Amino acid sequence: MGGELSQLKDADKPGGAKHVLYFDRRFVSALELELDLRSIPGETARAFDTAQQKVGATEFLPTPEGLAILICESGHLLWIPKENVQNALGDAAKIYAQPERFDLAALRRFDSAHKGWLTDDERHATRRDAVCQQEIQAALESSARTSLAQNGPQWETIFADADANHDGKAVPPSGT
Amino acid sequence: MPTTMGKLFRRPELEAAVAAHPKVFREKLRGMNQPLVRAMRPYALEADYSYSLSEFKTFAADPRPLAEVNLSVDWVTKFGLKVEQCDTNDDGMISPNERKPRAGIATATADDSRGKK
Repeated sequence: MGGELSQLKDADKPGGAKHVLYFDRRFVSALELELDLRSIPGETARAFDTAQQKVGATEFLPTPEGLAILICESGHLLWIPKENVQNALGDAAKIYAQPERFDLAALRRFDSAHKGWLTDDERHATRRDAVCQQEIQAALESSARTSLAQNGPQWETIFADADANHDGKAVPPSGT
Repeated sequence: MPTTMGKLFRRPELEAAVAAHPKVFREKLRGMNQPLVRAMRPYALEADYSYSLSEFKTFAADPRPLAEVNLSVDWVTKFGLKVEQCDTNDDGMISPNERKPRAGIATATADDSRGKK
């Protein structure tokens, strides 16, 4: 497991069809999960493998009670209970450790069912809640300040290296 | 480091900086599906499509991926636009349809020509 975007390409490799990316609201980077298809009939597993090779042939629907996977052509519906999903996400989050999003605390209290994401209505509520918006802005600024303090010198070096002419004027574009 | 810093012009310098440091910018660029120079608009506060050190550091320090910043409605107010005019369905995101120029409204897309000589 891992959170690297480059692993999206692994879907073309043998066995890659069972690896799915889960965009967890807690993190910026996706978590990668491996589906265990050993408990379903072989015919269904083969239909899933085949469908995963086609764009749009499978649909994934996270729900508060679990993860539903529809194999569109055959009509098979796979179901992964919430407990299994959460255990897998917990394991993936440990393997690919990353900080939680800066706005998670402000948004979490609007997630009424603790399902891990916001519905359209809940999202609207956050936008109309002045306190929530202030919290998000404060968290954003705090995160930026921390990052700047940690990485500012490196970014200045990157900028200086890229600003080849140092004359304050734009370089004429090449090939544009 | 030079005492005088200029601005990073869009393609030659900005993209070179990002390309030379993929690990630094990997998370920032995740999920982005448009040219970098366009995606960076929220940080081009001088509206010239070039980036001063201050603008560049603001971009780098933002904890959000660039794709998310582009979808958000908040940045349009920095350019004199009103959120309610850009986010017409009030869902908190600027969708591709909402980016299309409309009569009488200077949308983010319609404003693309700024800075071009």
